[in-house]
Amino acid sequence: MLMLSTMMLPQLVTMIPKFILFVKLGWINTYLPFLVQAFFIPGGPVWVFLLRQYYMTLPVELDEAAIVDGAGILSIYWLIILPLSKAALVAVAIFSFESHWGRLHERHSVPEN
Amino acid sequence: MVKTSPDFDEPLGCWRVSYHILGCVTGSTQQLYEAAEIDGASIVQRFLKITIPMISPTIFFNSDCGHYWGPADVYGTACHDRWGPYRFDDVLRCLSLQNGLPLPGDGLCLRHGLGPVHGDPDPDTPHFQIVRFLGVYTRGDDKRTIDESRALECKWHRQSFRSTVSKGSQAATRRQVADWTNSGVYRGDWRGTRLHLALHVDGIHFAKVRSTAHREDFVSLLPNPIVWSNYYDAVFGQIPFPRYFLNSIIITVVPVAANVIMSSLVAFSLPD
Repeated sequence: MLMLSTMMLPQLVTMIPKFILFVKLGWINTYLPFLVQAFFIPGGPVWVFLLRQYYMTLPVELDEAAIVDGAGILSIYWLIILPLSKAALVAVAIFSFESHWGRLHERHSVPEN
Repeated sequence: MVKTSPDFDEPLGCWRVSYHILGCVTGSTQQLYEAAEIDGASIVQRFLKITIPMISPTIFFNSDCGHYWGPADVYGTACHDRWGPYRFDDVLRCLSLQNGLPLPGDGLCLRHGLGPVHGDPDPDTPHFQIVRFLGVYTRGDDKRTIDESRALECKWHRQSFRSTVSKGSQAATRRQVADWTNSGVYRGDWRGTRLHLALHVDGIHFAKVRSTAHREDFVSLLPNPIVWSNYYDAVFGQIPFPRYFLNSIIITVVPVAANVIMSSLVAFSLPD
């Protein structure tokens, strides 16, 4: 719910504060605002929510069987969840590519130094 | 600023459209297709008689509203307006464009670029050359200086205001125009807007050519003559176009990879 509430904040509202932040960090005229942002704010909560909804459709029994077999949490993720969610990941990749490629005003709001 | 090549985002808009249509098709009932199949309808017939009628509202929405709102998008318009790196004060200018200016006649025209745009388009900016690269700007009028073309624009706008603005708001609007004209920031185009709205041709195209091309260019939709050397100039000319394109790729592909990895991990860690 907390995650979803971040979706209520329009991007435009955070645009100028983010810009000021980048100026203070000295990140203007670099790739960093685009790249670092993507790691720490993974494309907004949309993709997280999409994937979470998909993961919820995967049967818990798979996890339980893996735990019985002695798998840790990362093994479950890597060996069970990830192979099963290829389709969802591809969907996220496509839509995220489209959204990043078409994100004009964000790109242009990071000004020339 | 990391200079990118924003012109190439538009073909990807088809993802959005296909996304709408896909959602609409899969939302329709499967039974219709089954019934048609039992009745012996081929796949083409099923498509023509079931799919197309069912998605017709979506098609209408995408073709109509897409063209309507596309150019009305202040950000898109303003970004395309300047044909160059977008500066901080232009963000603010954009925001004020949305609400703060008087509306002469209809609001769409205002949203469509009838506002002060920062500075003059420099013919040597990369985007100006990309316009040529796209084959739009090929009239050979580029020998006209910026001052001359602006004078023409201002003249045209005065005429336009006289004929379109109601008597009551004429004086105020004229003052506003005079201000903008005198301060040298007034640019805009109503004719392109209205032509586009009338014909429902691609508004983005007009948004693109509007700020850099001259008024006469709107009369014909096809360039005449076609100057193929512009393509060469745009790619291998003064601007490092491949570099800009690479920048676009870098700041797109890396965030996409980050998105996929991080959101999948985060989603996995969320409690049910």
